[in-house]
Amino acid sequence: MTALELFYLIVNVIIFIYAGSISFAYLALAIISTLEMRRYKLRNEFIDFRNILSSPLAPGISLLAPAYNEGLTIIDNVRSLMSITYNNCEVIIINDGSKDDTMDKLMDAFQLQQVPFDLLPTLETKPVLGIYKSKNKALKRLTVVDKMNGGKADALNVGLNVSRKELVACIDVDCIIEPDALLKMVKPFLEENANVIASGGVVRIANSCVVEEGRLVEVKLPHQLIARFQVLEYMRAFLLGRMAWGRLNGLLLISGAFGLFKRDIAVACGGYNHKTVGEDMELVVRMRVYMHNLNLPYKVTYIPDPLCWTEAPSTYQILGRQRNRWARGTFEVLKMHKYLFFNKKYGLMGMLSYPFWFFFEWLSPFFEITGLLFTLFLVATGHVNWTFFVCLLLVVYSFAIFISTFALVAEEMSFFKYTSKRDIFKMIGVAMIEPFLFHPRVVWWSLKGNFDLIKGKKSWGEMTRQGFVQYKKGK
Amino acid sequence: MMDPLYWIESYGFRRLEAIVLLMAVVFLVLAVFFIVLVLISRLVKSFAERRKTSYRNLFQQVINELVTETETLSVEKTDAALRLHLRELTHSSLARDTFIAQLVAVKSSLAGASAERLATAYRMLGLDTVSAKRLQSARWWKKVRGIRELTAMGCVEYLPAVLPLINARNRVLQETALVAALQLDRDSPLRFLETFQGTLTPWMEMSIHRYLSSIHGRRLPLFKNWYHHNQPTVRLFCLRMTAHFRQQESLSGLVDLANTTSDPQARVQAVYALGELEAFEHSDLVASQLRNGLDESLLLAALRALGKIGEHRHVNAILPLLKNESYPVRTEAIRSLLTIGFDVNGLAQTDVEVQQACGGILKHIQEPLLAAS
Repeated sequence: MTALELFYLIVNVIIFIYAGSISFAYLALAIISTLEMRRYKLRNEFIDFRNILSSPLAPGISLLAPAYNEGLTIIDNVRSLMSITYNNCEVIIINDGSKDDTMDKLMDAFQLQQVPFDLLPTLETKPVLGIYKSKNKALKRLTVVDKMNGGKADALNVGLNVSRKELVACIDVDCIIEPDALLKMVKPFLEENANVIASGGVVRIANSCVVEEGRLVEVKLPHQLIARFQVLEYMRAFLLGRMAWGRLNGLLLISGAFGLFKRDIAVACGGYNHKTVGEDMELVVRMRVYMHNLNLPYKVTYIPDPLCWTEAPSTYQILGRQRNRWARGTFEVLKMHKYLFFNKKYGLMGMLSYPFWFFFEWLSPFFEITGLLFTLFLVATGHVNWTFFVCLLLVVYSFAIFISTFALVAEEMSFFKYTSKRDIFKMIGVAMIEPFLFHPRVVWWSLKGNFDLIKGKKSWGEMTRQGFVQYKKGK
Repeated sequence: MMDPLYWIESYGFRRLEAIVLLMAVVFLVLAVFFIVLVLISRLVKSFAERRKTSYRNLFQQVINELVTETETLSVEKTDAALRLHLRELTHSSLARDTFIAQLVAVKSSLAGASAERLATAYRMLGLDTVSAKRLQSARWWKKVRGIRELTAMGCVEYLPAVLPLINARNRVLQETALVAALQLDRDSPLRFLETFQGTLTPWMEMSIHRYLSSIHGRRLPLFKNWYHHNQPTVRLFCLRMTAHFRQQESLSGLVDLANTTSDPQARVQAVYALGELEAFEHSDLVASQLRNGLDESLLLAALRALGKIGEHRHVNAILPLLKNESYPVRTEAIRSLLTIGFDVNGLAQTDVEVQQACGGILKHIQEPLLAAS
């Protein structure tokens, strides 16, 4: 065997081992998720959430919603949050130095008045300009905080300082939260023997759904192909991925759009880190590390019910910015917590969750591009076994279809939100073309995000939203 | 049977190519299988739903007759009313389950004679034995279903069969059995605690509390009976319930605990409960807890209790805590003094240290818009 042949063999073997491992990992997660979903649905069949609604023993929850330049939709969004069904709950809107009329609209719509709130600066933040309550007693749950601009993490930290309840739910103000979302999210905190420190929920795509007065009234598959790709992606990630990690107690990421945390643990850890754009994942990792260091048992749970609906990016430009940010955030968090890598002291998090994220979430686009470049090199040097190449392409494509249809089955067997028969056929079609039309872009955005991070890019990027207001029934 | 690899190789593929191709075929077949599964699932779901709806419509007429029946229900009358449907009930488990579910749903929203008629019909049709049989199932969710049906129908005679399940390993089964034991034991709802070996989770506490809130005060169990239970969660729960229901009959047990217990959490709850019961005759005992500066929870409970009791003579014991380094302690001390009627504002104006430590808290507490939330 020549040196070149040996080189080809080594590269091929490495790529094969990687591809085999990642496929096996996704398959294992999918199977665990399916079994856990079945258990969850069976358990929930017997739960009467009215127990929580009517109980004075239910823990208090503060809903923290940072707002930046949300003037277009802020009133509808706040009204939607105020209608969430939960007795012992407060809504804290943090105006993060908006340059538009967000604050003015809030002041007018909710008759706000500044109050002498005794704010403890437990977490260091940008200055708070004022804290407001409504003169209308029907809105006594609402607190609005006006502060200097400092970013989402800083705004959430202000929310943590202002909050006086046991649990905090950190949400995106422009998401639609189901009315019974808190009842379902708080349940794990009430039923587990182990100390539940955080609970994450599913985020679903609301594009093309019918929204009336801040409530989702009809679920529809998005009209745009780009949004449908994201629907499929979210199904795979949430139904086949996080469900399994929740079961294994290895969840590292709770979506920033909707997560419930124990306030005292989040504050003890130092709150959100504003040195990263992946602040949601970073907080969960740090909370877990904190509990490990104290040698206390704990759990981070996951609720698969569709409780939070968000508007997905509707153009490739905006989607690209989002994925760029996610890639940078992932790498920043992995780098910050590199001591976890195969570190037995941190149990499953160190030995499985972190390595998984490192190898299969962060490293995966690099392997893909390496594989592609290597293939091109082989083509250029005339060393391609075309038969084998086609067989490989077939197995990769068929595995992708298999996992996507697995996600569709999981969706069908669980929450069955897309009830129209045509929607199923549309999603099958999406699953078939996604590997060609969407996945390569995702890989490219991930790579670009990592390169931008090396170049020193730290911003969020502008996320232009259309808002839900245009999707009203009968209009 | 021909080896699939051999078959693929017969087309000119090498071994490795054949393996990869076979994997591709397997995944594609599975994908097609999943697609078919999704489509069939839709059909099955809509068919099952249609059948269920037709059974519901059928049985609703029967249930309406039972509910509005004015004479005493007799076996003959029941048979006559249901004879057209009995065959369905005995031969179709879906029909039987739908009927039971409907009976349970309707009964839960009724009271009095109408509810009793439904329960009688449930027994006369032998549906209680159907539910009781579920308790023997190896599957926990079937047991849960059976327990819920028997509980909803008030079948107290099945309590001995349900009781052992309060210590089941499956959490949902345990919770369901617990609620059932609570509701079926009409004489002493919390008697099951004597044999309960598990941990009371907050969810269980809420379920128990919800039921206790629905029964008449005179039927409430004497919570002090479990103040010395071997499970700490049971002890704490009973202390919390004493406070919540302001059960004066348990006062002696609270005093005993506050004096003697070595369990710090139990002491905190006992002191808190003394405040809720406004036990002014034991205010000295409560005030003595303020001397324990190490346990912040105990300080907070004692401050709150003294505020509730409202005796002015303990003001001097509270005043030093206005300068305590803990923010929650200072806050509770202020609240307590304000409730007693002490002029904290005046003190803050004359004492610089108090003003610095408590000025912000005072403004916060006394702001009407903040007090309301």
